[in-house]
Amino acid sequence: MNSNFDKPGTALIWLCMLVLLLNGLLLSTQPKADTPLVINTILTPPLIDLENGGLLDRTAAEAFKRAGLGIDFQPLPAQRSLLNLDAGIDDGNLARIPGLETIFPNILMVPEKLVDFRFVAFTRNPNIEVNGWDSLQSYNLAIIHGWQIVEINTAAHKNLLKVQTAEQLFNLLLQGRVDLVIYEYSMGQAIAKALQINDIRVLQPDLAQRPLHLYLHKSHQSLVARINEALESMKSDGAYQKIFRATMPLED
Amino acid sequence: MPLTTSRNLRVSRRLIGGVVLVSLLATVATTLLQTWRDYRTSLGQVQTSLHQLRNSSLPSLVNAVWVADSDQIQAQLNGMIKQDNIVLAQILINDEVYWQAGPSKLKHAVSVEFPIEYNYRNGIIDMGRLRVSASLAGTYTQLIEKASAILISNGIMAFLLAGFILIYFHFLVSRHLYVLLDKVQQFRLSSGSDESRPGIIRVDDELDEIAQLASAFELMQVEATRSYERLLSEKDKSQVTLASIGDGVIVTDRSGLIESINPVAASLTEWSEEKAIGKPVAEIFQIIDEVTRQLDPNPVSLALNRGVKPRHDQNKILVSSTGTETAIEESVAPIIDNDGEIIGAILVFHDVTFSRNLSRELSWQANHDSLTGLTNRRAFEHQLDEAVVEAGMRKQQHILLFIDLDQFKIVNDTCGHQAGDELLKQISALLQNRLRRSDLLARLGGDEFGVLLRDCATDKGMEIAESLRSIVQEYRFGWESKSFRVGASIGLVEISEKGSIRDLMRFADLACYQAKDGGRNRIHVYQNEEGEVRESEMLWINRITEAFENNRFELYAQPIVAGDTLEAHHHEVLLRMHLADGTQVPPGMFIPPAERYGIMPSIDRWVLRKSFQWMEEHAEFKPRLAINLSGASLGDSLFPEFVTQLFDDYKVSGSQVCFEITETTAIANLTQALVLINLLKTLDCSFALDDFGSGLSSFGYLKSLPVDYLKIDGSFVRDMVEDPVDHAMVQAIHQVGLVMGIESIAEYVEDDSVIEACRKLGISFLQGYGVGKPAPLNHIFADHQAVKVASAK
Repeated sequence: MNSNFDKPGTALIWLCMLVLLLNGLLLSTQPKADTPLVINTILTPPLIDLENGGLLDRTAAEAFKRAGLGIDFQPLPAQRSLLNLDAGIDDGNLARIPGLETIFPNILMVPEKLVDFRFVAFTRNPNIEVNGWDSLQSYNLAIIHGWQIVEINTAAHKNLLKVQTAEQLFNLLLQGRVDLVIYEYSMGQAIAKALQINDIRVLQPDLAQRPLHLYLHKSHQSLVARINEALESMKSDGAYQKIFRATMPLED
Repeated sequence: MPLTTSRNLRVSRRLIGGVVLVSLLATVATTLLQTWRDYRTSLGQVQTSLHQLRNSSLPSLVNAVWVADSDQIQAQLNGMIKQDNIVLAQILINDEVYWQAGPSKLKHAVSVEFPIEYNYRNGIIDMGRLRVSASLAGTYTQLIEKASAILISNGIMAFLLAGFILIYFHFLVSRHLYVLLDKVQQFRLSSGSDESRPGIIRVDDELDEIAQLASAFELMQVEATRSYERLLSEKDKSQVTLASIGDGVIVTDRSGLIESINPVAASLTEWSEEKAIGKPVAEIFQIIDEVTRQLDPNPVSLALNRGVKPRHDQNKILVSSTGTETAIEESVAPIIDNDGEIIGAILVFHDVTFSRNLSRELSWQANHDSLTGLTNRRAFEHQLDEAVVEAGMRKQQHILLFIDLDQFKIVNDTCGHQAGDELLKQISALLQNRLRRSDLLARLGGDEFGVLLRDCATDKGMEIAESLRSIVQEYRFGWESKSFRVGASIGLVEISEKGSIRDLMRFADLACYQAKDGGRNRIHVYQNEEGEVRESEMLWINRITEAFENNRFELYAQPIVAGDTLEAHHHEVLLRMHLADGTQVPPGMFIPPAERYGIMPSIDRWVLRKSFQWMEEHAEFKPRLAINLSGASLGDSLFPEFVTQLFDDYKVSGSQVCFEITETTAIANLTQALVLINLLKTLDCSFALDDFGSGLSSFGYLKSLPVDYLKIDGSFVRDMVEDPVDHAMVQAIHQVGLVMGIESIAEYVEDDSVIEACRKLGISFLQGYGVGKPAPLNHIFADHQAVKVASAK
């Protein structure tokens, strides 16, 4: 009876095919640079600017590049971005304040701080002054839905509007529907500028200030250290500072 | 015919009932079907409205869920439950309710669920499900109202229909059936003329089914009447048959009351037929057990109650109304109809007085001795067997006595059998009078009687035995002016559960024999077999001693003949003993005890002396005798001296004497045997080795034993013609003898074929019944002496 294995050449071809098959299987279990991680974001310029390059997207892109990873940004509404990350639909979130992993059990924080996030109140009224969350009580107020720290601190506020986007938020202010809106310091200024709200006022002091961090889904636990290391290296070699200077407007 | 209340309207009632029931069932079924269809329609409508929500509300809800805007979601859910029938709207994520509008617990509601999916990055994300529920409470209310209306209207219709059918059925069927009913009720079977029959049933002119039924009834009437007449005729025949048969026949009904009794039954019971009929059979037919005289349960009642034939017993006696008793055999059988029900019983019986008397007599004769009327041996052993079993079961002891009459033979011999028979009868009566009621006396044969003393201790048994012995001893039997005394020797055996009948009878016989041996007219209690044998041996020693004292030993001689001429060469001396009553005892009876008690040397010496004496007396014939020596004599150191002295005392030469020693004795006492043989050989005596081959000893011993003859053991010789092994043994022994110069003597030569076989082998001498029987020693030369005396005269 003839068999394919009767000939040594045929057997060698089968062996090579088997090795290739096994190699392919092994490689497929490793994340590859050409399969970018989907990182969702809720932030706006200058922190995130997918068209022109913002501070955080450029920093993250560089860090991922250093870590040998690809990256793909996905803008989302605030609450949805966390739900998608927690459900593993997206691979990461750029960027959030610390402590969210206690609320969402499936997410991991990359320890290296990206930037400080300043919660401030914006108004067009020249007479309004605020000092802390409690001082907002007597004003009509609008916030972004899904910003955890803001929602928690304004939970008891009676005249509160929640909107999905920064444009909606600042349009409310522009049209005089609310006295105050709460947003991030740099992003708020950028939006006001874009909407040509010339009489915008940023009320001081800041309502809160929190560091922003990259979050990853827990399935990427092995990547946390690599990305963190890349971020550290960017700060130590000046790459981060260079991006910061290129993207962030100078402080007053 | 008008509808009357006296009629039983069961058919009409059933018809109405059936119609109403079927109508109701149909109504309920159609109502249920209609309600079910309405329910399906309503449900379809509700489900459609639920599905419409999918198109109207779901898209906006998906967006609200996408941005996780709780306020927006809740507002949309609240909007949904304001629509018709919708009572509950829920958003479920991973099967947990996240948002809800409406109450959680619902009754009679139907729910549908829609997936909440969002198209994201070229894929579908499942964000959860929308569940909306609609209430069916209103639908149910409508359905119940509708079903009630249908049921009520259809029910009324069913009752109206039933009423109509009832009236119409009566008009068409019932009234005609009543006419038929009346006619059939009036119908009576009789064997008279046609005029006595009921008139023809007229129902209607039309030949419808009822009219056909009427005609069929009419035909049936005619057929039934004819059958009835035939039955009457059969009944007459049966009654004549019953009246003419020889058996009594009684027929009863189911309750055991007599329906008929034939003349034979009436005669045997002494009840007239008129009086007996209608009476319980137990009153007329009373039977008792022949043995117990107890009233037997009535066999008819048994047959009626159990439906089986009672066991057929043979010892029944019928007691008539006047108390007359008749031995009968009866049989009873239940009468069973086609449905298997018992409807009565038939009792058949007949007079068996003659055959039962005959059978009783035969039975009596089989178990009794015809002379004395006592139980015979067969019946006695049967009773004994039962007693042994009973002894085992109840742990009782019984006693068996074996009685042998002493001196009975004298009466029989001197006065004839008639006197003997009379003596036995009288003794039987005497013995019977001394026994308890429970004891059994039997004649075992001749003058032997057996007594079974039931439940009896040994002491009591001894007491009774002694009483029997003494009554016989005191008794005097007179016959033709002669008077005889008789005695009874009694053996007593205790009966326990062990031992067979044969053993018991043997022990009793042995014990009786001991009583006789012990001097007659006494009682001997059986100890055990070994003890009895020992006791027996002691008895024999006494007898041997007695025989010595009274010169009751006698010498016999058997010729040993030459193989070719069959003429006597010499004779072997044999010993016989006579008892006081003249009975001759063979040596097998007394030699073993004599050996065990060391008397053999004395016997040997007595034999030797007598033989020498005889040889001296018959010196002119130069007789040659072979004399047996026992092992004890071989071991007796004084024996050689005794023999030497004999030769000195009598004119006998050593060549006349041959000593026979058995093979086993010689080997057991080899040294002494050699000394004796060598000594006596110097006196020219010869020696024979007796029973050679029986001990299966080595031929090697022959070399050291200088014997002259080998006596081949009779057990080989006797069967040498038929048995080739025996033949070979005889041949082998003879051949060895030839080689060693020893002549062989074949013992037990009993017929011509053995003589011929021995001759062919060339055996020198033969001994046995075939060539010469033992005879008293003194007879050997008696003929010669007689001739000599005559010629001298």
